[in-house]
Amino acid sequence: MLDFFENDYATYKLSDGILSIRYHSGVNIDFDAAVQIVKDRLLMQQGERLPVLCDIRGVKEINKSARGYLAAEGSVLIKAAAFIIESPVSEVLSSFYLRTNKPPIPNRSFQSIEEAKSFLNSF
Amino acid sequence: MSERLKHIEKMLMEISAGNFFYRVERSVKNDNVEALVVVLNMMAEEIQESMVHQGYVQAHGTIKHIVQMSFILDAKGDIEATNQATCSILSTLYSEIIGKPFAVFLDESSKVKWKNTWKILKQKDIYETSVELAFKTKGNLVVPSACYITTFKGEHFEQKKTLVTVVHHSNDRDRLEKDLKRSVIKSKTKKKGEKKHSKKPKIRLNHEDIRKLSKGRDIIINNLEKDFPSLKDFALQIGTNEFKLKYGFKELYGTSVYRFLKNERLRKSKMLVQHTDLHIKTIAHMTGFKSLPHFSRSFKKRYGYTPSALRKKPL
Repeated sequence: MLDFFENDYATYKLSDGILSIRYHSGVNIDFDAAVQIVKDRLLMQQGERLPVLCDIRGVKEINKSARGYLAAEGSVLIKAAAFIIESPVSEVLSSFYLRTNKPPIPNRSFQSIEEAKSFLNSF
Repeated sequence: MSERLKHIEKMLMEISAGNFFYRVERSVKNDNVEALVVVLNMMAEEIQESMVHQGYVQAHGTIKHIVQMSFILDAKGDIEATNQATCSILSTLYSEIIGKPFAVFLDESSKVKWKNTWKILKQKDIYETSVELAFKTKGNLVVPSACYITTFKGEHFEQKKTLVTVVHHSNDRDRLEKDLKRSVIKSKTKKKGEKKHSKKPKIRLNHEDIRKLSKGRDIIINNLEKDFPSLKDFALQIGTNEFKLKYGFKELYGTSVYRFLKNERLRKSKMLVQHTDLHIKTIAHMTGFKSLPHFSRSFKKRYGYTPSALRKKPL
């Protein structure tokens, strides 16, 4: 299984049973970006359901169709998701997404990677 | 008042006047004002879509094309003519638009995109493409739009002209499905779903009903692999009755409960077929289908090709 991957939007790293996705700084996620992001994630997972740590501190914007895609198609094969955020921009991005798009998986936002990992390890 | 707060105020004014297609331009800052801008922009996006849907919340798609601007550009890329809606959307006078380079009305990142598109366009005799560009209004609000760019030539023009048509509402998800379908099957037969409009008088759903139905929707999405109860039991589970469930679900999500369930199952299975190596039979079970033939049939009916055809498609 691949344990590292990078595309235009994020880097993916697999370690200790957790898939970490770190978005690049200043990234703007539209529908085509969302499709690519999910496709590359599934390529790395090779059919295995995993907990995912999403570092969204670099995300600048994400539009409605991308939010819809990530919450629906983008939730496939995710056990649980933890968002790494930094106040206040990425914080409102994550709370808006979780509240309006309601992805069908356990979700929580954290400011520290350690706490996020221990949350994910409970799944 | 700071410049950024002024933009927020202007945007709120536009929303109040029913113009949901404006956005506040983002800065690189990470402070509370910026967070407010993020929420404001996303809120406008949500309202914009629900207004178009007239009642269906979160139905991911089915948007019609509505607001339009169009520009005719000369060989240098200057605006030769435009329509009236452009003047009001950009809040700029006709005389201030004509003769100006098209790029003047775009935001910084779109200027770069446009430059690249224009470069390609100049090299070709005749050319057609679409690109996402963001326009800037006189009041510094941003209007992100899908633009269709066409070059055309007539006997009487000595120079090539370019037509830019700006469409505000298009549907990404439909496009993605169409692209995929085109690459899986090469036949040209197309069938379009017909929309039926009910003429029955509308029954109003109250907030409590809507909350229950949205809970029902979440339960469906979270339990795709399990057997689905009868509508009567499901209605009881979410604290309503069968009639309200059937009627309200359709009102709110634009589809019946069973069709919604099936669509969500198929949506998930399609992702798994397309992007994993899991056996198709395993995928069928993971997404609540009782048998492989049943799964394949439903899949084909929905997408126009079978799961195995999708799996065999070269990446």
